[in-house]
Amino acid sequence: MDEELLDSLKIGVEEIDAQHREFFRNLAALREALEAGAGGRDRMMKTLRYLEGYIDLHFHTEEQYMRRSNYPGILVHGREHGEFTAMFAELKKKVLDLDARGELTAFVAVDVKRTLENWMTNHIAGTDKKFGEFLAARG
Amino acid sequence: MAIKKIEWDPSLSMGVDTLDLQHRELIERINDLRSAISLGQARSETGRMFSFLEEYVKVHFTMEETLMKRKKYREYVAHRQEHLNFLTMFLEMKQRYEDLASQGAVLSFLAVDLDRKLAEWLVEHITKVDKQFGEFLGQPQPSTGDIELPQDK
Repeated sequence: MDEELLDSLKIGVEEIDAQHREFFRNLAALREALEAGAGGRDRMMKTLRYLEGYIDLHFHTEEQYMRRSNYPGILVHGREHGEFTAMFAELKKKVLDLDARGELTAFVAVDVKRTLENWMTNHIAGTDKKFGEFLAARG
Repeated sequence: MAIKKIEWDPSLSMGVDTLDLQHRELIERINDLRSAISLGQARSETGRMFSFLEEYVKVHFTMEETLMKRKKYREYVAHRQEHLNFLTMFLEMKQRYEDLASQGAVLSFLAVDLDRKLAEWLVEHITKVDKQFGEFLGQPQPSTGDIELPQDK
């Protein structure tokens, strides 16, 4: 993901923006490992483990900011986080099942990477941005 | 329109399992996209397939080029240029698809391009240049999947 797109996804809360960046950096590392033809499988597994912890931390961080500022959109926002968590659990299961059968392919890895990246990009651009705007309007 | 479907078959093997599997996957995905377009599937779906294919092709080419560099393959520059040519053609087609899709135009004729241009190019590329690289590598390079390139030693 290029710098320009990353910049356009900033919502103006430093801690949250930094966490978003880290999410994309992790997925970029997966692609690099695939392209290097070395460590792609390991990286896929690392990414899954990393995201498991990340999801908890990141969504918790966001929701804390929302509670502190009495953000009225918190329920809708939280629902989207729940959807992501469920989707991630499914993706993870799929990858682990395929891997157990020795069928984890570069194709699957690219597909998983894109699915996660697309969801997050849309979520930030649509839902997180609204929260950023709410904070900015409050001053 | 009856177009003979382009399919991977063992005669296309270049002797590197990792890359053969990806070639197979690429041909299938181009076929899938072609079917989706000719069947008039939802644009959100075909758009997603186009974008996916773009990233997958890039990953595949880079992986192949990584192996060439590692093996100090003398045709590396020329081979890479072929990859760039394909990407240019692919991106033009994707752009045309997006333009037409945003105008709500009929897209089915793009299916012919996907066959004639992308799939045929790919088969020709595999037959001519990829196989040359396979020959350069000498012995077959087995692997257990397509996610890692064969390692030295």
